[in-house]
Amino acid sequence: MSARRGVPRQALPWRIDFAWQRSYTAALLVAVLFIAYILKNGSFGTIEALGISNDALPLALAAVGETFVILTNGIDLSVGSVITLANVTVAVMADNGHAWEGVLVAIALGAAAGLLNGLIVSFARIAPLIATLATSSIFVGIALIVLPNPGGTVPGWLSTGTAGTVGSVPVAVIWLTVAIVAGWILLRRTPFGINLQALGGSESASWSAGINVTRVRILAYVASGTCSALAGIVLAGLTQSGDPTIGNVYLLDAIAAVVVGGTSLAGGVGTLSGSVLGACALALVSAVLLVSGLSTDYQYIVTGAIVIGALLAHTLQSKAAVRAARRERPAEGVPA
Amino acid sequence: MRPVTLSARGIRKHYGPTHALDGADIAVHRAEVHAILGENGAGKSTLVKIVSGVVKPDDGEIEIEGRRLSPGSPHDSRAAGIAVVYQDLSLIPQLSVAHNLVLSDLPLRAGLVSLGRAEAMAREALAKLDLADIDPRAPVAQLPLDQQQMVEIAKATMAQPRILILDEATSSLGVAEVQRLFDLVRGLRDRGTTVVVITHRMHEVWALADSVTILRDGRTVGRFSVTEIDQRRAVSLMAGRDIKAVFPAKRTAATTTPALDLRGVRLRRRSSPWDLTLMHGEILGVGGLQGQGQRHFLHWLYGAQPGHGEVVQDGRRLRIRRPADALRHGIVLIPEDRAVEGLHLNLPVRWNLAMATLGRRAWLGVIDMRAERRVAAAALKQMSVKASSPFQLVSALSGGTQQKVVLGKFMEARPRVLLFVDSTRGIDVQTKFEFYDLLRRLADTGVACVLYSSDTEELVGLCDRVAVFHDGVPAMMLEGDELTQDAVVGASFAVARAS
Amino acid sequence: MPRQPRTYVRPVEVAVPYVLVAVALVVGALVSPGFLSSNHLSSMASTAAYVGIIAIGETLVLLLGGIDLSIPYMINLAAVLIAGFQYDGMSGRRDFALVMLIGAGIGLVNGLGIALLDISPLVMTLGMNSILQGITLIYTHGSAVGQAPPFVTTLSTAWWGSVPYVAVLWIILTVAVTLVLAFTTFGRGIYAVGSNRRASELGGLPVRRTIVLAYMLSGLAAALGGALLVGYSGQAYLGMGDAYLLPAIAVVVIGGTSIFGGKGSYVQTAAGALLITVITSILVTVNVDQSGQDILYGAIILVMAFFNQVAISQGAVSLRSLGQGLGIFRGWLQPVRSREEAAAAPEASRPPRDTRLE
Repeated sequence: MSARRGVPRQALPWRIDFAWQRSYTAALLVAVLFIAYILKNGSFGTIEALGISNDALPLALAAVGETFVILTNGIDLSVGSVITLANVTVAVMADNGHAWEGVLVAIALGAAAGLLNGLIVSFARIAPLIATLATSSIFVGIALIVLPNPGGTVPGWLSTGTAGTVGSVPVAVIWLTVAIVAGWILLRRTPFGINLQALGGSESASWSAGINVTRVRILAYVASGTCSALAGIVLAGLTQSGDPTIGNVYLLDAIAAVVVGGTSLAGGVGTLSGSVLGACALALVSAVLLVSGLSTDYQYIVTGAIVIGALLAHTLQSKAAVRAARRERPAEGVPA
Repeated sequence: MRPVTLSARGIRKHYGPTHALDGADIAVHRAEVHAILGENGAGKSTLVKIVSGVVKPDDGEIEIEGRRLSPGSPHDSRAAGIAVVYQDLSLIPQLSVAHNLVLSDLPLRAGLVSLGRAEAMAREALAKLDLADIDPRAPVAQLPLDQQQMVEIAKATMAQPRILILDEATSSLGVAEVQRLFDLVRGLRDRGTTVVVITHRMHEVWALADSVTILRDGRTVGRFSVTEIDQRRAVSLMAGRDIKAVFPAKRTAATTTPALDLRGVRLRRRSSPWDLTLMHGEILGVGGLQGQGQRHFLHWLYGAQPGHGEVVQDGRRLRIRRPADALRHGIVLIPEDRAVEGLHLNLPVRWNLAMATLGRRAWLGVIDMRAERRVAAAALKQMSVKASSPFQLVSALSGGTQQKVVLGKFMEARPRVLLFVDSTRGIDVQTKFEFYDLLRRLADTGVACVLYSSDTEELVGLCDRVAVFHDGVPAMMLEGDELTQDAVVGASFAVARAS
Repeated sequence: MPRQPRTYVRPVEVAVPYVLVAVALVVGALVSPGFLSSNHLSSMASTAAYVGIIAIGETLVLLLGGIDLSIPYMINLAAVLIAGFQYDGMSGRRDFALVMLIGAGIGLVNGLGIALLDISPLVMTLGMNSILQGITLIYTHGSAVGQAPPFVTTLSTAWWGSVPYVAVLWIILTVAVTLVLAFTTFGRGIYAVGSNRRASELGGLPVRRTIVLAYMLSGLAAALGGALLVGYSGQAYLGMGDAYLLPAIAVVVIGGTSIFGGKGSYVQTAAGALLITVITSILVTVNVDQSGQDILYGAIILVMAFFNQVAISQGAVSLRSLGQGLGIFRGWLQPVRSREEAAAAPEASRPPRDTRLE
């Protein structure tokens, strides 16, 4: 029998697969930028780490949330507005002396926002792009009602807890590390994470295997909303006030971080940790620019170029992998 | 006589005015391979769905090992030991084999997924089916298609089913892969599992099954052991009458002119270049094992895929860089999957018919609507298609009519060379032979036809000569007396072995 | 089986948004006496024209199955450039022509990235938006100078009798775009590619050329919008384009064009633009503040998108599937469904696949 017993040439170890290969790019980028920063700045101490990690943390949270949704083959354009909503909620409630409750309410609001998105996408069958675009408008409107102008206050413990230091280590660095580890565990080791990847890979196959696809999808949106809320809370701690326009810039950057982190926009392939790394990379970009004396205006151009470049790199990587696999066993016509 | 393990009696199911099943019975004995034959619409899939509990029958009863099955309950069917493997793969491509196998029932340890146990479970399931060479850690997408199919079956056997149903499991597999699947099925049978096979490929039934049930129009018209009946009789039972299941006569005219001269063709980087001359009025078959470059060849000729080589027509060298170029020179490719590659389902019939020749009726980019209307009306009339209006959406038409629209669209391009990519896959016998007649008639008017098919019977019966491909090269050409089914199959393996 | 349409774009689908516009006008008249005065109508038409013109590009691109998120800073850049060139002394006509050319050029880059390099439209245009933002910031060093060329200002602000020039321009463009979509090979190609790209390729259509051209026109439309906006407001300022992204997409959706491609028309989008403008005008008259407008805006989009989905899937999505949503917590406790059950159950619980992300 001439049938080829196609054991792949490199039997991939359990822990390395498509998604991880892609997030290596992000790790590499972070390393490169880090070195560039040190070269330009000469030193790297607590202050520098504080600046960069405080920049990175809210973005990382938003990116992680977005990753959940993108893994299911959808998109969440309401990330920015949920950040805003959570942010102003905390600021307003803290202003009235209910800081703790404010945090909890903000998280609950984020989850509820995600739930709304998930329900609309799953049951009204409106495309995620349109649904989240519409809900983002609604959430911004609500935020404007809560806090029409920048203001509010934030208690000290919140500031320290999100933007302070523990010894000489910025709290944000700790949170980022937690995020990376938690993300890895969640996606690779919990049933929810596996189901999430399954859904993104093939919805019909997931139904087949008995996965409650609707539930997983809705949970993904809830997770996204919750993470965005966390980002908004962190921002409140960082800026020590509320601002109804604070979330606007985060949508593009969150998607950029996700793309840089290696998650495929087509769903199913990706890592939460990669998105965190992507966020760190973007934060480092502006830091390097700052330290090199270039005006921050260039940041936008660089971010845009990085997003496109990263996607291009990943696409080429995938195509090369497919071609390599095809060369081993040239079955055509059936895409992976 | 082995006991009956699955029996269904008097199954009836209707969807609105149509009767999908109207009194179907089957009786499958334990540890045998049983085939269900029938044309499209005979009710095979519905029967499978009823047995597996997905669909509730209007009437009739099903018994597994003597115990009555509660209708319409997938849970009950699964508990009774029924597992189904469908045609479209239900694997998650980027997850590993092990992940896929344990997906329905992830092994947990302290709330987290236990990879070690998953891998062990996977290895066990694979080993039981003699598939130990498949690495459970490999992402499914990296496996060749036949191995993916095996994994699919392994997944179904994980639940230790009594009865395994394979619904059109071989339709996307080539000769070699099908053999491997057969070995697998025989192994299962020998170990006591009952296997029910639904297939369109007649010769597979006689190669693999022990007995067969024939359905027609929702009813059982015959139950035989494989030795009691031959293909010819089975076909007539399936169709309900003695249909002309005869291939049209082949080309007798000795000399014709070349339609296309292919020189220095190199589809893959490391192959050596080859030449081929396509003659007017001939039907050239393209065969060989799956994935040997047959599709690539046809798509390259059509300009849809890259490759090297000269295409010469009437002494002139053609520059074909995209399908539009090919169409201009009268080279037409009929795509494999009409819904995905051939039709715009949400656009009107008229637009679909006009699609391939849009440029011919446009002046400076503006379409001549009257000319388009005329062309569409003529095409509809010629195909005797009854559409309530040319603006009807194609999605509203029946499958057969849709196929006619695809053909009509490409015929409008006045082809001189027709390329067919596995066009009769999944088509019932009657329509298949109508198609063969059409093809021969076209060839007789001078059109050169190239037909890639994974059905060796079709290749041998229809084509004037057959090029057996291997690794992107037509390694052997069979014609005349040499052209037999055994020869084609043998050649497919021989050229592979020789490389 | 629903009755088959006599023409491809069903008259019903085109009529519905216009009927809604009429209804909205009636509501407006009830709310405020001067609502239907020729002055007010013309001013609403003029406001709608801006979104309408910008949405030309978005309509073409969405029909194709793609999306253009680079509109905000395309508008902004065009505005800033046209004012800046004017400030630097360039002639009005050359100024305008150059900026239009730049808009088309950027659209060209978008189109090439998407068509040739297979970059997802979402990422390509989102990234381009960021790049354009950077260019805008660098060019203006934070503060924009100059004004639009005189003829552009006239176009934006002046009236021809009782009709604003910009509304006339919009009508002309509407007719032109509709003719192109209906009667040219390019227009047919847009529907074809949006409906089934693979079949279009195999059918010999110039797919990549169609995609590139569509994105070029989108860039051009956004640039035109930016130029007109500068003419209207007298100067360019940073962030002026941000307010137009959501509306541009929203009016396309509200008009009934499917964002998956292959179905819809510009006439519908134009109605969507009118509808949104009238409703916003009503809200302003009734003193609903920005937050209320935002909320209602989102709600309207959802409602219209839902009903369009119902129309497209011909009833497969319905209030019943919404009802399923209400039973969701019950669903949590039900035994998990298998593929077979899903196969037998209605399609309703599977959301549409968004191909523009790939």
